[in-house]
Amino acid sequence: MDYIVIKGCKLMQKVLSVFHMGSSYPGKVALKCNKSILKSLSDKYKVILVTGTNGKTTTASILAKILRDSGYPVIHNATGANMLPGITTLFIAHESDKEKKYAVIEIDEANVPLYTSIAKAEYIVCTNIFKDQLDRYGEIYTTLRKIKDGIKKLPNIKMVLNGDEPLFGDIEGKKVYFGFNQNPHSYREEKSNVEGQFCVKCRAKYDYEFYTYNHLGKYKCPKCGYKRPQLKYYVSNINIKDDDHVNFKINDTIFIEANIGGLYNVYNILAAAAVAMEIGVKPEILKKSIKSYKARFGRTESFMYDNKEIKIILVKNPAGFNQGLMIPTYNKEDKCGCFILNDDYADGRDISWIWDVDFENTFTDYNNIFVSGSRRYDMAVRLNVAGYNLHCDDICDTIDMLVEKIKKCDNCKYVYIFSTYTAMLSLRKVLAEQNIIEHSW
Amino acid sequence: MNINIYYMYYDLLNVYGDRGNVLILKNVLNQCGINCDIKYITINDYFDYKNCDILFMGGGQDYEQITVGEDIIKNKLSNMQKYIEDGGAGLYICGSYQLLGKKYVAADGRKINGAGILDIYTEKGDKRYIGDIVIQSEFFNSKLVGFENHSGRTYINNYSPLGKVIYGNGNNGNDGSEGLIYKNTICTYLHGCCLSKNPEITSFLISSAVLKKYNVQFDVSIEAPLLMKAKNYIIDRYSKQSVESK
Repeated sequence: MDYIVIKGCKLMQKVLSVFHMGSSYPGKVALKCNKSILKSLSDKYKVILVTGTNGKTTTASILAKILRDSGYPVIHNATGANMLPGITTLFIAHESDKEKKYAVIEIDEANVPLYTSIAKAEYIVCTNIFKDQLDRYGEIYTTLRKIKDGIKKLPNIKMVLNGDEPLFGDIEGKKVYFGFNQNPHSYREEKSNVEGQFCVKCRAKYDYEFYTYNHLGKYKCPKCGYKRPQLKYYVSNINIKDDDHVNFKINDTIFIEANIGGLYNVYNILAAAAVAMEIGVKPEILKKSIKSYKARFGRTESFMYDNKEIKIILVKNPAGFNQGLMIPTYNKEDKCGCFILNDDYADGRDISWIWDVDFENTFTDYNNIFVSGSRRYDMAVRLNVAGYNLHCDDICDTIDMLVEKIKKCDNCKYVYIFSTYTAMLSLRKVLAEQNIIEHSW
Repeated sequence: MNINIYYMYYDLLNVYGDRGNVLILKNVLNQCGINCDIKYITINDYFDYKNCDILFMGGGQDYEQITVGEDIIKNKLSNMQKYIEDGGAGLYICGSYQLLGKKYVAADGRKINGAGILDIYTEKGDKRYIGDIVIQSEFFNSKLVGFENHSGRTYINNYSPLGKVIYGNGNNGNDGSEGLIYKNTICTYLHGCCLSKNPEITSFLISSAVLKKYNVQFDVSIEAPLLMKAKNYIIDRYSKQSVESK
């Protein structure tokens, strides 16, 4: 019976994929027929789950690349379909592959316990937990509980955890931690508006030797002594060269050069490297593989358009947006900033979170600023309170109008586009219609 | 003139973008030529109510709200009570609104004692109210808009509500009321952040604060075409919807 279901769904997946559709639907049908299909499909793989609020996509795709470059066959849900149906679809698509080794699975936090109650995994990587679309996900402690529940179901799973994340310090089981040593970008003083700074054990406020960003850092509870665990993999000598080049050392010995920007991506690289080293990947391969990694799908991907370099930065929550806003500050050239805010379900219906973004302290000298998206006026009000001086002319009712504005920006070499998820899809569609980028599916 | 804004529990009640209200108050005060200092205070800190001109508290998660509830009762209660009863201007959103009342039952059923400064209480509801909200405020003679996200059902006894619900749920989903207004205290479930689309409340808080401190009638006129467009976008979205559904 399962055999027929799998073959049927596989056929469906093949047909749908011709039309660039169906990254989730076949899996949904298969799971409806029999949930344990996921177990039998995934059994032949060493499954590596990658979860957490921010950095899942980038961490998983760097890890998949490292493992491929190491010569292993790897399957990976690169389209971002990270719930059970999407994950099941991935396994269905590769059901008849001859060689099966690693499955690098980006997984939505709430889906972790759903997955581990059906199927096994060898590793789980947890990046961080930030406030994120509270209209959908609820509180950070709810998210934490779901991840912990998922881990409990697989007592032998090996955990690779962000040690700078205070929420992960007391997860029980086999685990290694990665994190940051003090660096020129870390800071001591608390920034206003940081969640999760109160002890998970006794509710007292942590003391930080330093923060890396948001509530990540070297924390210690003054009341009960709960503190950042020993790091097995740590980063030092960070050098952010510009907005898409960074180099640093892992464990003081392995020199890493990467062509992606931002401090948060150093975490993503470190997380992927930690898993790879646990598996036994050699430092030479690691270095080479990371150096040739290119950003994708709104994760600071860039392309040329009309003699301007356009960079798209997907924004979903305050912690990620704050990190994204740092990127143009490393670039001293003439630039323009675009902010596109939608409030569809996938973006989060509540746009209040833009007020938790620290535009004030990342003020950037843009030559031009434009806003668009269904909640463009909210975005404009937010930016004006932060000291930007937007006028009605800078507000684009449609994405096409925004693209026209960008075209006319003769004084800018760089264009940074900060966009929520559905707005990014509309933007990509407009750009693809003008043959500026390729259709992505 | 100088106005001190006290942003209380800035590090605990800070997950729904409510801090924007403080940013907006400062921005508008400065536009009016009034100097503004923001004082950040949290658990264990003393609330120097005599020095406070506008008190602001936001919404938080249940985990943090328990810590705040305990701290209010232990360290801040009598000064907050004096401040509110004496006509101190204040804006209390969502979680802090609930905590001014006598009790609050969290989503998981835990009972949290509130400050009891207002004779109101909050029960736990089965369904979380999440979505845009539009209300008609008699006090301000205008519509107010925001985004609500709460499982608590608040019952306000004989207090005046901030407004009547046109679209959304409000205090409890039953009696059609949203928020409350008592002396110069405004309580509401409106996130958004609230003042980013409701300049009426901004003007009220500032003019109340100036009147109390300097005994001057100060008319705050906020020129904000973009802000009104942001507000009308939400009003139009739901007026169209209610016309269609009829």
